[in-house]
Amino acid sequence: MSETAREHPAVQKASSGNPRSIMYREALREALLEEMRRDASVFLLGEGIARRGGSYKVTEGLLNEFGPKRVIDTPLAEATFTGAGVGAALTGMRPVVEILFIDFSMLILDQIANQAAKLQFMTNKQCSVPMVLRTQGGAGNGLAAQHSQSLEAIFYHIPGLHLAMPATPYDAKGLMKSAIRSDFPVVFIEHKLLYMTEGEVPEEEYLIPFGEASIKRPGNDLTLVAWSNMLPRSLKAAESLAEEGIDIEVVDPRTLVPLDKKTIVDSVRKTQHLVIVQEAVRRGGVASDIASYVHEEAFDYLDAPIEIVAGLNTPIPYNLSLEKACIPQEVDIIEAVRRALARTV
Amino acid sequence: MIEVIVPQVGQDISTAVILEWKKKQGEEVAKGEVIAEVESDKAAFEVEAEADGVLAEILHGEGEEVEVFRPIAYIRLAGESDQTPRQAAAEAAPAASRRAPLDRGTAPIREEHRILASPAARRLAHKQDIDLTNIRGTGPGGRIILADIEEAIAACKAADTASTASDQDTLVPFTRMRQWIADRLTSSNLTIPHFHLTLDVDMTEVMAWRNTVRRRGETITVNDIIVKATAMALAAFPQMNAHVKEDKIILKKHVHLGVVTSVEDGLMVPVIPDADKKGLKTISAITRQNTEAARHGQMNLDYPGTFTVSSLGMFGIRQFTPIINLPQCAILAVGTVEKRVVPFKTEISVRDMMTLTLASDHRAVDGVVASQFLNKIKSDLENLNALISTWIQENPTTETEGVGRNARSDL
Repeated sequence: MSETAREHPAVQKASSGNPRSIMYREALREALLEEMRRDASVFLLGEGIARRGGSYKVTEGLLNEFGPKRVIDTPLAEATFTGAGVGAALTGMRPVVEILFIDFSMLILDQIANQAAKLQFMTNKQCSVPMVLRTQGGAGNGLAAQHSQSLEAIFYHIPGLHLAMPATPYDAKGLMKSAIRSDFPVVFIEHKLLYMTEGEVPEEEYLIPFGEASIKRPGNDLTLVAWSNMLPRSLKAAESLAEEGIDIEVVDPRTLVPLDKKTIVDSVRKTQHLVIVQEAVRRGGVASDIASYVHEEAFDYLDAPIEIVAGLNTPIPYNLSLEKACIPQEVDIIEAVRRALARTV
Repeated sequence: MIEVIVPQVGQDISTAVILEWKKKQGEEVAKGEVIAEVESDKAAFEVEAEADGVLAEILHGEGEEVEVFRPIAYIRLAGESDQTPRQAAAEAAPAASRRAPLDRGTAPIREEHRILASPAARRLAHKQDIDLTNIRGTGPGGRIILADIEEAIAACKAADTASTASDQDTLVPFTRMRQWIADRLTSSNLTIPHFHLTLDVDMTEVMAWRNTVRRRGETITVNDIIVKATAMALAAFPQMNAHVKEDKIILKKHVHLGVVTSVEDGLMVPVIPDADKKGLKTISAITRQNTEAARHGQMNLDYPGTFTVSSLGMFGIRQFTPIINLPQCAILAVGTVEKRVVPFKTEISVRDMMTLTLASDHRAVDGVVASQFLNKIKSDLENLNALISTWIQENPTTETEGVGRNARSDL
């Protein structure tokens, strides 16, 4: 996947001097490793993350280097160990709590929504919760309704939380390192289909600030906003459409909170057309919220109604064909682009 | 109960005027039977009953303008109740809400007049001072999109450069109004067997009287006087105040006199309603308002014209042969008032003369009636008695009465 001029300068340095391609899960592991080496207050909590090395091998080998006091296997008790993480963060530690599937995060909503998100506001910053909640979501491989959801909108809705959803190894590493150093509680949502994807990541240290979108593909005819696993799908759609001379700009917000509205609005002002792609169900989704911001700030620049391509308003079926039908595919994105650019002649 | 809907014939049609109801309220109708005749900008067409039944309620009378796709009547099917949906709604609605100034029921009608254009297209059109009514939308549902405006700008630029390049012809696409004029006049000229009568009128008395009135501070124009004289003649000759259909003549009850008014790149024919019953001052005021409104692209469509007067006098044109304004049966062309050497009584004299040309539809009108009609206008203009008496009725003071007397004594 080609990075663009708007990318972090480090990537150009790296790709010119020291090109290296690694997987998304390896990039995340590097981020955890580097931050744990740099800061002794960083520790990991989660199910199967220590001896097993994590279901997606993100924490592989970390137990050996940092020992069982900093890489802690927990029982299947999400509310308890997340609460422990919040408590540790209040004492000045920087815990990285892993919830194996975002679906299970429904068990920890009080700890996150009522405690972690609120405390720095309710204490006038006398305390803060510098915790990272690592989790992964999205559909793929027929894991059915309780292991396939995209629940970012729930965390997006709650003030006091930051929310990252990286789509590339480069973004995953840079954002994870920033998340660990942030004094805000950060919900960090990975995607199960992205762990094995590869991309260039420099060996030198770099950070990606929250609230800075990335233009993954520059273009002039239409803006496609997509995050997480919808980004590679959108880039593919953009490439198919480029063969017909349709020049699409693909913008990845990378963090949904804070949201880089300016980059999106500037892009729409340039292209006059907007398609937003989200894997989550349409109803009450982040895409609708982004659309409302664009209406507010770029109404006079829109040449067509904003199109939202989103998951169907239904629990994800187990059957693979039905699962596919519920989640936006490349062809759905292409169709939405055609609608937005349609002329009757 | 089923609705009788005005169909949309032609792409740009949004309204149509009901010319005639072929069936009365309460009359039985059969499926496919023609129940009304309506006319749009472009053409007249028939509205058929969609089912067997009884014409339960007529919502709009003849001459009324209605939106396409809107109901104009209800047909009651066998076994249905007597009450039409509109009557039922009127009964159900409390009186107060019916009188509410912001009647929700009328809102969608305005909405249908809206030009669909994307915000980006509107913004650029505004910036470039482009009139959206002249742009054809190519977006979904006919929405005007940015590309349409950009193409219009490009076309303008191309036309500009073409006109500056000396050996290039300039292509000017028809505006909607141009298209309307073109269609109407072509249709009139192709279908109506026109014949033209020409008559000279001695305007010396009119000019003198007009000048006297003017000195009194009244702004009556020669044209107003001709319009009034024509309206009086129309009242006397109902055959000339008619609409012509393929196989019939509709003698119109009212004299709604249209006056051709030139506007930017086109013309409009605003109407003076019941012109025969109005005094000169009122006619003059309405004409001024109409002209002003027409120049802003507005026209009162409540009164379909029954006759048209067209004047090119201000351009020094002595005489021209006009084309009838469908579906009317005649049109009067007014030439300039000029000094001519003419026999007067037993002398050779210099008089203010004017030439009138009447174009008539020979399907409906013959030469004798048309001649009598034209002579009636002539005599009313040359012998001011009738005109002055309407003036006195409108200005019932001795002083203004004196205007008339003075005018005559001036002669």
